[in-house]
Amino acid sequence: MPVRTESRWRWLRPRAASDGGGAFGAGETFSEIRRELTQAMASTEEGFLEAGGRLLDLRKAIDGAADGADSLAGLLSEGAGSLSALDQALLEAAGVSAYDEISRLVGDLHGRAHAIHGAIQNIEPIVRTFAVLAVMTRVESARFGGGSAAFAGLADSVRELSGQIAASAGASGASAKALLDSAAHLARRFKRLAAQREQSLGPLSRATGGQVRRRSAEQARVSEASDRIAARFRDISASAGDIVAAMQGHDIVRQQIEHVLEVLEGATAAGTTQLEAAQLDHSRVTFERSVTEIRAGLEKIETEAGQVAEESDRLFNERQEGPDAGPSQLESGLETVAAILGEHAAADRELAQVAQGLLNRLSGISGAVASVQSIGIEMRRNALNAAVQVAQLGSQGQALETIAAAIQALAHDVEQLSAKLDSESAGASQALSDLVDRAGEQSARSEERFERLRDGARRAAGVRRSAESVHGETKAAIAAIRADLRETIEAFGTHQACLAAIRRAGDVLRTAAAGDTNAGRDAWEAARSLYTMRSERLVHKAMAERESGVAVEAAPDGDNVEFF
Amino acid sequence: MVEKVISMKRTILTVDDSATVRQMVAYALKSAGYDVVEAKNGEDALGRLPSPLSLVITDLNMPVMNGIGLIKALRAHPDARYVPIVVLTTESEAAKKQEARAAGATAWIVKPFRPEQLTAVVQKVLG
Amino acid sequence: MTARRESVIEPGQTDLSPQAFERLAQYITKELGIKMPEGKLPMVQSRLLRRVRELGLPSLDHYAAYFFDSPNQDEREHFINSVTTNKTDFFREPEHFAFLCGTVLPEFSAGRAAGRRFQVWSAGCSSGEEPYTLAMVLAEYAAGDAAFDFAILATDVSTRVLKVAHEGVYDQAKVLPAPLELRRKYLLRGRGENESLVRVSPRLRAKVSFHSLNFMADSFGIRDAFDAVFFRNVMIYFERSTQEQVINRMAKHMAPGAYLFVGHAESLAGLDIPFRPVRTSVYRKAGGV
Repeated sequence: MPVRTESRWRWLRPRAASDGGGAFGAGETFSEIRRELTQAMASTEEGFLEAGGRLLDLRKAIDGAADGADSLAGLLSEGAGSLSALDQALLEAAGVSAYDEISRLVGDLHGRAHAIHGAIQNIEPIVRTFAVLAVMTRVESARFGGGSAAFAGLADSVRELSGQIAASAGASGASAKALLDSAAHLARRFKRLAAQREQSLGPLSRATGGQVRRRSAEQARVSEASDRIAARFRDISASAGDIVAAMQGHDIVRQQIEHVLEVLEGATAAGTTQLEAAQLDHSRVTFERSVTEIRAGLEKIETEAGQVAEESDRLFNERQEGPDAGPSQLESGLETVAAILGEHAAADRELAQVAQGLLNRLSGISGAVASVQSIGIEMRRNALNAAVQVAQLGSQGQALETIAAAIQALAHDVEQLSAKLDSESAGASQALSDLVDRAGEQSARSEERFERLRDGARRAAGVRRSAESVHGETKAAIAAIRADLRETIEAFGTHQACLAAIRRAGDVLRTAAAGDTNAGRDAWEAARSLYTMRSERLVHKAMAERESGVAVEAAPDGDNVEFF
Repeated sequence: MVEKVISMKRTILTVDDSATVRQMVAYALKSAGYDVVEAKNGEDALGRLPSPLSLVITDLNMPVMNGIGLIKALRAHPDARYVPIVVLTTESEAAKKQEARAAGATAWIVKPFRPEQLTAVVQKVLG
Repeated sequence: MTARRESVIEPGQTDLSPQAFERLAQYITKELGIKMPEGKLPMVQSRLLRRVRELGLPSLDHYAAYFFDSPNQDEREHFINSVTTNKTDFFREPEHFAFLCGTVLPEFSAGRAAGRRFQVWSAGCSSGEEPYTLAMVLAEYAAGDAAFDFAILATDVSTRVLKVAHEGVYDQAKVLPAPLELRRKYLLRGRGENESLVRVSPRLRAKVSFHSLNFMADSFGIRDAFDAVFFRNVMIYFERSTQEQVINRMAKHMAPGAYLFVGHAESLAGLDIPFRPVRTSVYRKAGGV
């Protein structure tokens, strides 16, 4: 805009109403004022429009940030559900009581395997006694010669039974040994696992559970805070109302200036330059106030957005430095617990399989037990037969009586052994089938917990990741909003040229007014019809009163809003 | 007062020669969930009447066709015969109000408006 | 403050528990199609409190329990009135009247059989604002088309509101949305102590006949075939299946190609009825043109 010198304005002078050419003799100068003011208003409108456009963008961005904070709150409070499921799963994982039963069964099995093994080893001396008896029976039967067929049968029977029991002992001996070894191995293995459960899984689960609860409490806190932050964003967004109102100042001032120009142009307006100058002063003040208010409004939003950003950041930093320090600690704890549970599930499964295998092996031993039992029965019959023979022989059969007693004693031993073997292997069988069931159940449970933990850990990690990304996005959005705001504020307020133009025009008018001697009531009244805005009428009223010294009645105003 | 899930957007025509004011009217109304069509003056407005049209917000002092002219034209238009018309103007003189009222305006708001003020008037008029 | 003193509600009992709100909100959303985010909690609370006091219940949570455990049509109506703003001003949802006078009426005029009157039914007319608005719009149209005549049937289930409607006396504020010119033509201003009141002119009142009608009744007892039915902001009181029944029954009393106007928040989407949408909240019966 060209700088004007005083000399260019000097020839401005008011003209009498009768001249009919408006307030200025030189239309050229009037048109310069008009051009300058019109241009100033047009060029500032661009600035206002841009600020307005920015305001729209800001509104969207702030609403977006509010939505982000809202969704973070929602995400975290939804996450609370999966965390509490996780806590429950950990509580169950920490509990070892479910293994007590298995532990008892394994101990029982071990004891019985031991007993079976011992019993089968006890067959060895019986086999030897059998051998001796078989020899003695043959010798005695030979001594009686062919006189007693019964003796010869007894000798044969004892020999045969001796062979049978030796075979049974041999066959089941290996099985019993294997059973004992497996049971011992199982017991050792189980003891190790139990110790691991007691020492690591329990405390780890409990500790991780504590972390889960802390994480849960903390997420609840962040969720609540996010709700608050969302509400504050919405407040900020709503506070743009002041700016919306101030923005319209441009239109108001433009119309005020247009009115002044119209009066200046009008033939009847001569002698009112002082009023026009006052109207322009008022326009300038209004304009300046609008600009100030828009700036202040934008700055207020910037400050508040900054505060919310800080609050949000603080919230997030506290989260990272909180008791649940390394954000991955919980996740890695969960991972370890899950891994141990996985191992246990596998071990339990293996236990069930081993127990099943042992059951099969036990059935092999059972065959031997049955045969030993039948040998016992056979022996008792032989002993009875021998006793009958002894009675028939009378004093001759004294040697035979000893043999019969020995056979009876041996039958007794075999019977006892077979009874023991029978009860032990039945017990072992029961223990094993219980073990198959319990270990199977336990492995299924462990597996299910393992899955739950894995799933829970995945979800917890997912929530954390989403929360972090939403927070990051919100943070970035706030930063962008603030940067935009600062830019807008800087760009806005370079309206000095416009203010200067209005001021200059006012000054020119005032200078002209100094020489204006024609100011009169008529002219003021005539000008009044063009000053139809409330603020304009107030200026008009004040000026008229100062001029005439009497109170001037202003046209009545209605409310700002009126329904017809 | 109560939001509807199946909220059919209502269209409001805003007529003002000031781009700043149009922008602010659009700002206020769009935030409140309305669709907004902008026009620069009365003639421009008549050339782009949306259908269905729920409400017109018009300035008074505009070039080509002013607000009073527009109100009269709308009241003679079958599609806009009963559409509420809110005058949004810098003017506040009783005589001007009377003129708009006689032409068929429904309500009158003096600039500057605040967004909540404008939406309150719109909601009251639209029911 | 006074309200609190009169109430049987203990302090601290004025808040809905989140669970109860959730339940009510779900009901409102599902049944009434009105979105009810948590931000609306204070509004729902303050509006329901009055109803809670009327019933003499000790708390809002008790009300929620009462509402869900003893479901009856009456309480549903109270509940809906508590949570919605159903305004009954003149010229409510003015887009409909623009469409009526810009499209429906010219169409009728062009295609009508000689001597046939345009018949409108204001279904659920409440205290009469809608039928009188229709009467104004149709009378205005008739002024420009000498051959045009019309009749309006206005029905409501409540004889109490019908009495008010029949009187045709309203507060000034209610008629404000009507254009000034129409108010001058068709309304009489009260004098003296009635200065704040207006009355619908006898000429206009003569065009509207009021009858009590229950939409739940098997037969409506109507012989006319209407050209347009205004059924606005009534469906909200009915469940989805009832809406379908009522509209199908209504359709029997409509001419082929007749128009059905519903509230802006209402939708017929998904109902098995012989209508197709024409524009927002306006439907047309099958057949005819």
